[in-house]
Amino acid sequence: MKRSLFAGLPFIALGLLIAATPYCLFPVCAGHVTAASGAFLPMKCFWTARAALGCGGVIACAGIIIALASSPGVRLGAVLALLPLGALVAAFPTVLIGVCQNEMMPCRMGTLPALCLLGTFAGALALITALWLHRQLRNNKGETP
Amino acid sequence: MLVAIVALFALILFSGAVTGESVGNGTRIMADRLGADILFVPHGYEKSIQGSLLRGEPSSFYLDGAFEKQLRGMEGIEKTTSQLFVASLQAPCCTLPVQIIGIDPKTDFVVRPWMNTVLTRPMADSEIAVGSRIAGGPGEKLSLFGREFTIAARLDATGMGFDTSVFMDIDRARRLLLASDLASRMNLPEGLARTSFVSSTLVKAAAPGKARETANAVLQRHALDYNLDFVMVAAMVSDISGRLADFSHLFYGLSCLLWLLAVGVLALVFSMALNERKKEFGVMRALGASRVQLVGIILRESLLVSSAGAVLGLVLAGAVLFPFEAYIHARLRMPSLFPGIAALIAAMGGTFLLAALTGPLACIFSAIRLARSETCLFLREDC
Repeated sequence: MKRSLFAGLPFIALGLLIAATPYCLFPVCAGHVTAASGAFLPMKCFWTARAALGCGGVIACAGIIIALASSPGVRLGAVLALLPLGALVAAFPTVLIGVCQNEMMPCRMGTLPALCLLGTFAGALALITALWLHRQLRNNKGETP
Repeated sequence: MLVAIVALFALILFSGAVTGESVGNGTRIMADRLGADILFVPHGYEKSIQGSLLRGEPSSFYLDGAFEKQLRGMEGIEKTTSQLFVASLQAPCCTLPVQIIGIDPKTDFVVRPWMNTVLTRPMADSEIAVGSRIAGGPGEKLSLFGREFTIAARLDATGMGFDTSVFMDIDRARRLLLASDLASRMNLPEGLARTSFVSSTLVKAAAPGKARETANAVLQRHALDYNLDFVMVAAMVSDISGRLADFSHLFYGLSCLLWLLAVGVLALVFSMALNERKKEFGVMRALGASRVQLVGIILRESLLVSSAGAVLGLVLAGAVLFPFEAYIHARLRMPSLFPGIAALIAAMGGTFLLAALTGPLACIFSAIRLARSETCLFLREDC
């Protein structure tokens, strides 16, 4: 039980950090753009923040599953799902949605590099944890850690 | 913990070196690029022009264009030119204000020399040049005050406020401003001609050592007529250099303290670890390892530990410095330009060397003392 808590807590913390980054730590731009119709539309960074919020929540939930699941297979499955999620966190501000073009906008200066770093770190941590859990499973066949 | 201490030292040392080098680059380029010795501005706006030049903080202020004509031919003045600063509220993609700087192509000696490296022809009426941090390249369009302009050139990075500015002909900038929504809120001083107002007049003194005397002479003659104030460029550069020196003292002091801490902790831990492993070293000596070989093994182990810490520290520093370069530049509020590849590699190499040598330096005495002991003493239970 203690080992699974140890494995899950970093992901809970990381998920919460990813969700909070575009709203608290490196907030995205607050402005709007005016469409041809005259409507005020939020900028791309607004949607990137929403996507990061969702991904962060999913990562945190996966962390809870990892911490509480009794089956090592379930834990390994949850960790493997975090690999593409980490890539997604990094992809939203870069290729999937994007942020403002101007280099000095808060979203490009702070939010984009922060999400890229956190997403890459989440993916790398998921890979290391997956390898560790796989070794645990292989070494302790039939034994519940 | 050993790796973490060395990593922290490497992180602080590398980050401080790169940041110091960045500000040093920005200060040097500022001293080269500005070209002028004295900047005359309306009274009360000396901070605004410094903010605009150093940090790209958009601002608008106005001065009578007739003032420059008064300076031409005045003793102690080699060259003069005027610029118009306008803060635009609109730019494509986002509402961040952009600083528009109108320059006089006939008299400018500040922007044109470095614009000529990327654009050798005069700009057309619908053309602009942009700083390195403005989105868009040559041939692309930029909208300002509802008018579309073609980007004729993108200037090299300077680390100053020019990087987030847009440059155009001063007459064009004036017409753009007067035709815009801002015109009614401009609060142009009474009597100021709407066809020739400027924001600042830049002066190159005939003798750089006498720039302050020239500035005082101009103020004595014209301060009341034109409501003037001035900024000495040399004082601005000196102020930033002073702050850079303070920062360097702080960071080098901190790095020294961290290094001493790292050496102290490593020396203590290695001393205890070597004591615990006496039997192991005794067996090695009994099997034929020489004293030199024993010292070599211990030093290699400590080198591995401190090298791992050095690499970790450099990776962490790189993970913060490179992606957040623009953020750090904005927060520094000083001219700064990231060092080139060669300088970065030199800083990395120097940091790695210093951090990696921490371990061997820390345990050399313990290793030599251990190697000098008699072999039989290692294997005795009560050693």
